[in-house]
Amino acid sequence: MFAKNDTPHASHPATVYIVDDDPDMVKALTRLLRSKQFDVRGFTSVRAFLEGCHPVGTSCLVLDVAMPEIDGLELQQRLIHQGLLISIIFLTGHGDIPMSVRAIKAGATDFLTKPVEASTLVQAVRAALETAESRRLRIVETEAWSARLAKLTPRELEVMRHVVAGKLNKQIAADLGTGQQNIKLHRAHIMRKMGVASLADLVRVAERLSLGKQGSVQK
Amino acid sequence: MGLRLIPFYAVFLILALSPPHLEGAEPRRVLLLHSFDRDFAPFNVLSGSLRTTLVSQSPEPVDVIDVTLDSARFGDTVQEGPLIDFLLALFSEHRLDLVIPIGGPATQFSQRHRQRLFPNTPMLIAGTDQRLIQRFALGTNDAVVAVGNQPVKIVETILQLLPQTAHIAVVIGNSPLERFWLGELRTAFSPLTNQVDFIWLNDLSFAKMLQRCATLPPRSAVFYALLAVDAEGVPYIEERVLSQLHAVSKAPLFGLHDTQLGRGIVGGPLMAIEDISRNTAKAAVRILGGERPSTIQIPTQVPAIPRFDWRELQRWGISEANLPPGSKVEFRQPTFWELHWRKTLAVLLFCCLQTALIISLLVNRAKRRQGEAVATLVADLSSKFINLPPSEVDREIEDAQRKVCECLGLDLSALWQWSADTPPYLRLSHLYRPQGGPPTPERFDSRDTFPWCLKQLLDGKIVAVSSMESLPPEAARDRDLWHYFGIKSNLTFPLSAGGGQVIGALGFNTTRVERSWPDAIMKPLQLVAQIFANALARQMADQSLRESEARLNLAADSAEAGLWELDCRTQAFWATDKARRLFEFAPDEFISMKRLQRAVHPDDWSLVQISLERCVQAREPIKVEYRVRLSDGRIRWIGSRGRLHSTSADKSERVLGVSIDITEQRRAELEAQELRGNLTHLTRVNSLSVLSGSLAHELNQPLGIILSNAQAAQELLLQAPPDISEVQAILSDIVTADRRAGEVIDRLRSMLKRGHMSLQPVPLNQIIEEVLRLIKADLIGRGITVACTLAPDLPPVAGDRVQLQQLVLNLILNGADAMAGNPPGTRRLHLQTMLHQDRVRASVWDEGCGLPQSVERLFEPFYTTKPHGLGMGLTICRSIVNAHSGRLWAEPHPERGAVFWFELPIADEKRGERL
Repeated sequence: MFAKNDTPHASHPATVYIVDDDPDMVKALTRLLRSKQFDVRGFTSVRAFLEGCHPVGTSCLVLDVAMPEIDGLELQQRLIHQGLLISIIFLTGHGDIPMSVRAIKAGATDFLTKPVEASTLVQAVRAALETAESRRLRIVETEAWSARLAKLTPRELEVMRHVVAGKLNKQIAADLGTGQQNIKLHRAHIMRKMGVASLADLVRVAERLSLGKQGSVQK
Repeated sequence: MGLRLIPFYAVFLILALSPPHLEGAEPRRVLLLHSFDRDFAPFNVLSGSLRTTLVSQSPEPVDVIDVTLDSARFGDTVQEGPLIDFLLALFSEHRLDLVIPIGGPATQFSQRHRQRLFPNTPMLIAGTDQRLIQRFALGTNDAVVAVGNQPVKIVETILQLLPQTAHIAVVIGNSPLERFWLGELRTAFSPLTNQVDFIWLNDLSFAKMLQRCATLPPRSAVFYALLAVDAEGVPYIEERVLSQLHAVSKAPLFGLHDTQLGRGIVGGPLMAIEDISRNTAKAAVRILGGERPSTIQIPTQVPAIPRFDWRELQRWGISEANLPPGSKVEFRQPTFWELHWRKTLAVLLFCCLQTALIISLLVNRAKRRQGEAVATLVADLSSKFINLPPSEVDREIEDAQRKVCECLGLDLSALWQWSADTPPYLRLSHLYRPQGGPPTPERFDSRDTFPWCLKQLLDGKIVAVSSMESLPPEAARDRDLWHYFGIKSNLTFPLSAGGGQVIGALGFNTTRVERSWPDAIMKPLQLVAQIFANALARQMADQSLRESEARLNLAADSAEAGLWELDCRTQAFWATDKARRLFEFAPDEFISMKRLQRAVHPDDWSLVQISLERCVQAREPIKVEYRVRLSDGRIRWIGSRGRLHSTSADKSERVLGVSIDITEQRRAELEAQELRGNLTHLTRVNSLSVLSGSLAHELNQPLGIILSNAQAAQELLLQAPPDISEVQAILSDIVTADRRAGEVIDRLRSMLKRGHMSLQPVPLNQIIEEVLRLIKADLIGRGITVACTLAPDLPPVAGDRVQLQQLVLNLILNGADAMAGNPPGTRRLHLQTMLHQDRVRASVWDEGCGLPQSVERLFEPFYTTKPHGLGMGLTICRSIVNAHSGRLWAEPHPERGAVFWFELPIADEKRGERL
């Protein structure tokens, strides 16, 4: 789906990063993916990768699990922390089920075993990039919605909370000590500010923004 | 006729030549009228005495005139006329003061012719037997000193002295006087004729008389009466007669006068002629002094106290006991002593001195001989005992005791030895007592037997008792005991070998006499004691040596061990029977190095040889196992241990050792090794299964590289135009990766292969790196980090590659397991290698749960602290390390966790042992 030049956002080119402490392996994988028209960059250590790359846009990381220094999973956490929308494909020399389960649970996109078939790898990379992209998109969307939410007044925010909780106007009015009409008015503003057409969408947005009772948006 | 006149002339001459008298002093003239000649015995004595006495005792000078009657000899036939004329002529001018007729004939003559010749001259009849004196014719001018011969008394004496006498030969001549006396004798002797047979020799010539006397029958005696003239008319001198008679007579000779005593007669109551003479002389002097002769009454002279000639008594065997009481024995043979006492004394003294000197020399010689004999004996004993076999010691000691006692004249020798009991007993071990005696106890308590003596001996002093009396009071008990055994002198030496502890005592005793113990005796005997002591000590040492040898042999036999000894100098072996059987050597076979080589398996000979050499040269103990080929083709494994031993005594170096048949052990070992190998293999396989992840990774890596490269190449080749150079690069990478895969497979294969262990020089660091590479994935998966501090230039160890890999692998896995409970990020493993002295050391430190209480249990098989552990990992590690002659141990780390150490010897190019 995604090819070298086929990116949804031209300003965000998709890159595949390969990190393996075996240089021959890096070379081979790089060759393979490049031959499949991917943009590849290879590193032989995690450190080198962290220093040398500033992934912008959609990218995925093909990572050998068994590497000294930094655990692959740890790296995953770090990357997320840094806000890099990067999908991780774990590559392992030995099929260790507990490890793979752990990796998946921690959010890895895929877990492949060496030797890896080209088609398998390409498929995984594509999926990873897509995932990365969709995540990026999702984040963008969430950010947009966050910005919209920020435009809500505190009262509107509170009303919104109640609304997404499924309460009727009447209930909300009673809870907040105001009239139903106000509530209806607030509701209309909310709907307009948030840019949603239906209650269901509003709920969806609220969910996305993790709107709890406190009303803070969790990032 | 002329001869007869010689005396006349002699007298005439004498008168004529006599010095002229002084005027006015006329000497007194005394006429001695001899019966026979002047020298006729016994009258000569009388006349001589008269003469001397008269001359000396007379106040006035006296002139003595001797006239011999001679006619006595011839008897009546001789005319007296001329003699009368002569005498008249002689004294016609000169006054005669005294006339002394001597002897019967002269007296008879004088008395007959007195009136004519000496009418007024006093006359003193002398030396005349009273029988021949005509007493009635005596006047006032006559004095008489008569002689009372008692010939019977002589015969009585003969019979008293010699009661057995049967014959008496009477020697008497034929002159008128003698004929007279013959008649008198016959008369006197007639009462005795029944007792004795008288042989009258008067009608024999003197020669015949001598013959007769020489052939007298036994139990005869000879009575010499008077021999003036024999039957043939030959005159004799008494002295000569007596001497001849004495010479030839076979019978004792008897006479009448004491003048004859000493000239051959035995003796008896003899007429004391001297006394008679003296008396006669006194009478003469009195008469010359003016006394009237008839007033001089001199009793008749009788035989005196019996006197005997000792020599004749001795000659005729006449006992002095038969002599009449009061007898005097004269002429006792001046004993040689009496004669020459000075000389004799001197000679005797000299002889004594000589004898003393000779005796002392002899004694000295005897002593020296004895001393030499003793010295020779001691030298003999010394040389005999030097090389005496211990079994003969007792016999030789007793023999030596006998010889010493015989040589020195001792009676008893006893040798005592202490026994090892408490209280210590003295055992009488050797006794020489030819004369026997009271029974001796086998042993006795030394405290109450010979206490004083023993005290001395224990102080190291020699006891020398010459006399029991000289013992001090505290030795009373000793004295009693010695007395009981009849011992008079005792010499006892303490026995100690080499001046050490006293092991006994050696005593020499006498029972017959007391004796002293001079140095000359003590020194050699002390030497004997030392010889005995040394021999006994050697015997005891030999005994204990035998005992310990027996014990050793017993122990060796029980342990089925053969003892052997190699003499470094001769390169020959001594071996016990057991050892010989081990190697199939014959019982008396001479075992040389070559012989040993023949027995040992050729593959193992250099090993044996090297270990022997190392032992001799570098004093390394022998510890070697090798094979021996038996005659039936079987192989026997022998394990030998040995050590170099050099005795300072003879500086010879020997290797002492023991060999055991270890065939069974070896078989068991091999079996065990087999099993261990099996087990090791299984655990290796097991650990490999544990490592399957890592292994898979190791293989999957190159496989993945190959696959990816290949598929990339495929893709590239689809492009137009294909990038050929890129494809070429890809292909070469594929080849490389394939080789890598091959290596892993090889390693895997070798790990899975059950091979014999072979020791090669192996670099430990390399092994560690290999293993780490192998399990890297696994470790990472477990979150374990490994820190290595590997010493650079570490010398290779002698080992089996595969086994060492197994060792390192197990240790690392063990460390990893220990950290399973650690929080992530704290699972750290530290590997170190270093050179420690001459061994390679490695450590595996895990920061895990540490060691249990009993560390050694970890290495026990099937001991595990893990829920699904086999418990063999560390056991196998240990067996691997031991097989490599190394050491494996564990200790807690001071900070955290545990450290496992192992040590391996450095590979030695010279050694290439194959197990």
